[in-house]
Amino acid sequence: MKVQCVACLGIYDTGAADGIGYYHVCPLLSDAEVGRALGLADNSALWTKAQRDQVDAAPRVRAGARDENIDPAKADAAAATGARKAAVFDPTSLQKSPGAGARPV
Amino acid sequence: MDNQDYRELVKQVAYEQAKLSTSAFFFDGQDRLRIRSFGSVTSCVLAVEGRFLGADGRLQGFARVHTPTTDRTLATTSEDFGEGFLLNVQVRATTSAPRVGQVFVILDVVRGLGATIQPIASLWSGYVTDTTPLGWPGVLPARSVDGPGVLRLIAGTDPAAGVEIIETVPTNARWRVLGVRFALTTDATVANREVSLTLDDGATAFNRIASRVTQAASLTIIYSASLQAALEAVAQDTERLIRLPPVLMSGGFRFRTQTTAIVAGDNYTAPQYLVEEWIED
Repeated sequence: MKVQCVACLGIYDTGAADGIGYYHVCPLLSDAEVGRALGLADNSALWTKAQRDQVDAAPRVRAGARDENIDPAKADAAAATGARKAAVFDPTSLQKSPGAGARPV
Repeated sequence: MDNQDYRELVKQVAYEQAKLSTSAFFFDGQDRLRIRSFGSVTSCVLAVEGRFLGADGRLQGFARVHTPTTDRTLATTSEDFGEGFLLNVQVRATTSAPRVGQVFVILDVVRGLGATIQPIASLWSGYVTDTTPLGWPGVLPARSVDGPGVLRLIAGTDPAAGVEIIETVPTNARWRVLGVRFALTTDATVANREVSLTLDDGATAFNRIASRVTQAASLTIIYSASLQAALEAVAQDTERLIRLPPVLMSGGFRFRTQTTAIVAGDNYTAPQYLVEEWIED
């Protein structure tokens, strides 16, 4: 199923072509995104050194970042409590960080 | 001696022989066969089959079912046979067609229940397929990262404009990235972009490989990264080559683009990448 990440707007299939699960992770903020958030010119070639330093020092973690990879601690806990064998077990509950979520496209 | 007596004698002899055999493992009634697996394929069911010589001298075949997970996390079942000798056990996939690198199984003997389980003997470990049943005795145990892994071609996330590519090694997987291919379309903003691939452990970068040739405005260039790529000094039409280092990457490691002078209108395609994959817990 093709979905779009709400945080980074990346589009991906939840399963790879070989049927194996695909685990989306949001990228770090790019220079372009940081520059835009700081109100700088779109073209980074026009940035002053001070502005460049400001971009380099900015945090890169995206708001609502999503990491669909399995959290080993959550997986171990689900196995230990037997939650994993429940008929209504939700595998997305094992994700490291659901972040802002994803929607079908 | 009548037939009945003869059969009893044969059973007793067989039971005595089993005690002396190197391919018979005694279960004292508290011991159980534990099956642990780590799987990455969907709809895979394993058959755990073998023979058990009970304390009554009867030789019984058994066939049990074990279902691995599909996300490379641990699945565990255990089988109680009572008192007697385990003579052999084999594992094979009965549904799906996993390949080496996809469903790793560990067979051992344990005692106790719940949190007090005590492993007492390791019998066998290895990758399971649908074509070649493997097990104990006779097959050497293997680690999950031994030998060649499974080759997988993966389509990654198509990032939004102005956003970099990033792909992560899934939890409990090990990858050797063999090739990555993607395109970058630059917008009309006049600036020379330079594309690099950065490898990190989820936090700290340990490799950054630049394409060494810049990309000007309003162009679409395809980038191919591979282990054998030549170090090019000049642009080759619409293709650029990046040489990947031959490194192994564990779960949580990432490869990502880092683009000098990227602007909001620059747009990467989804990367297509080839990896050799193993289970790694």
